[in-house]
Amino acid sequence: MSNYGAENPYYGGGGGGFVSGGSPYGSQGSQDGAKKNRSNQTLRPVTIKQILEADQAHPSADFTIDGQEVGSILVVGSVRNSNNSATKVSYEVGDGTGYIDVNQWLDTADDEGGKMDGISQDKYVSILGSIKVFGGKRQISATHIRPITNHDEVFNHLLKAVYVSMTVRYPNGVPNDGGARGAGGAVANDYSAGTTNGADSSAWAGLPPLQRKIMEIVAADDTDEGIHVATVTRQMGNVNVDEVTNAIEKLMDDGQLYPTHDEFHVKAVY
Amino acid sequence: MAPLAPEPRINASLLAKYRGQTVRLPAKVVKIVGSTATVEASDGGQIGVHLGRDMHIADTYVEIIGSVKDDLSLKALTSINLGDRLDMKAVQAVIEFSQSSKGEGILV
Repeated sequence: MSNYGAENPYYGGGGGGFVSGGSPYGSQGSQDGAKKNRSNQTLRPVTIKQILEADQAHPSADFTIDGQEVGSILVVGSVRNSNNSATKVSYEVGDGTGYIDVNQWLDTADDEGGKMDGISQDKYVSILGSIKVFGGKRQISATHIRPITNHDEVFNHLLKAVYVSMTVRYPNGVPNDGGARGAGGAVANDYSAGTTNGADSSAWAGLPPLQRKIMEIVAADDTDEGIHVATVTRQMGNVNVDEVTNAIEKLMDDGQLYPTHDEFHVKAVY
Repeated sequence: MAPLAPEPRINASLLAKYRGQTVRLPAKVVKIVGSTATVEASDGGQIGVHLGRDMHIADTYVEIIGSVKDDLSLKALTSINLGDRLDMKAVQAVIEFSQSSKGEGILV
């Protein structure tokens, strides 16, 4: 489906004529291509408001949300209206943040593929597709539409949309202004309860206190070879050595830490 | 046709803020008497909902789309069945993010 968008002369984003001269992405065409393709291959959970307010530099440019190009999108909303012709079905879908038209092509005239099965008014659906503009109006061209049965998915989707935007807006962690961070209520509650001591790096807010302390110590080290685990243990103060060792191993297993030139030196992934 | 306006998701304590507006209220059905339902919002507060005649509340959890009346009851325009189990903590988190600066440009 993304190929369709790129090749279609009416919607296509990467037209050479636009990119070659005065391109905001720089003059090296090959780099542009690689960059574009990479973000076009992501699937981003978004709200309808984010689609309606997505930026577009010029009418044939890719849409960006929080400054990041979007290719495929995932939207969860309830169906308000539906309309189908012989070859296509359109739904009016709302998720509380706005309404948008969603179009899907049908394989056969009488929908033998069953694409419309289980989808009706006032039912939540999950939509995978891409943003298109038709007659000056934004809409979703859907590749898959699936009825939702477990409605936790609705609220988890909205939290995921917030989480992804937070990650894009604040790559170094969300500034702590007393608000909640993270995808779940539990994280938010832990956070506002002030369970941490000293400077809190929100990137590790989800970790147990011991692991978080270790991450803070390791991240404070800016050498290339990393920090010796014994140094970490020493800086931890009155904590059992085995506990620290176990926690470091856990952090390495989880991909938060990695060993450098030997197994005793570690660095933080970010 | 004018585009349809957003419907902010709310709980019981936010009713007063949205008086006269159309909102979405995810809630647990406590009881239905005649055409009036009593529901429990994600913050635990109870709200009276005036149901439409052909409204079909089948599940324990529903999302009511309706307008907030002056007496802080809700006049339902439609209802969406959400099943018999729902994590109301996640619902509450969504509503809290909607009210915080972090939800700006995403949820509101």
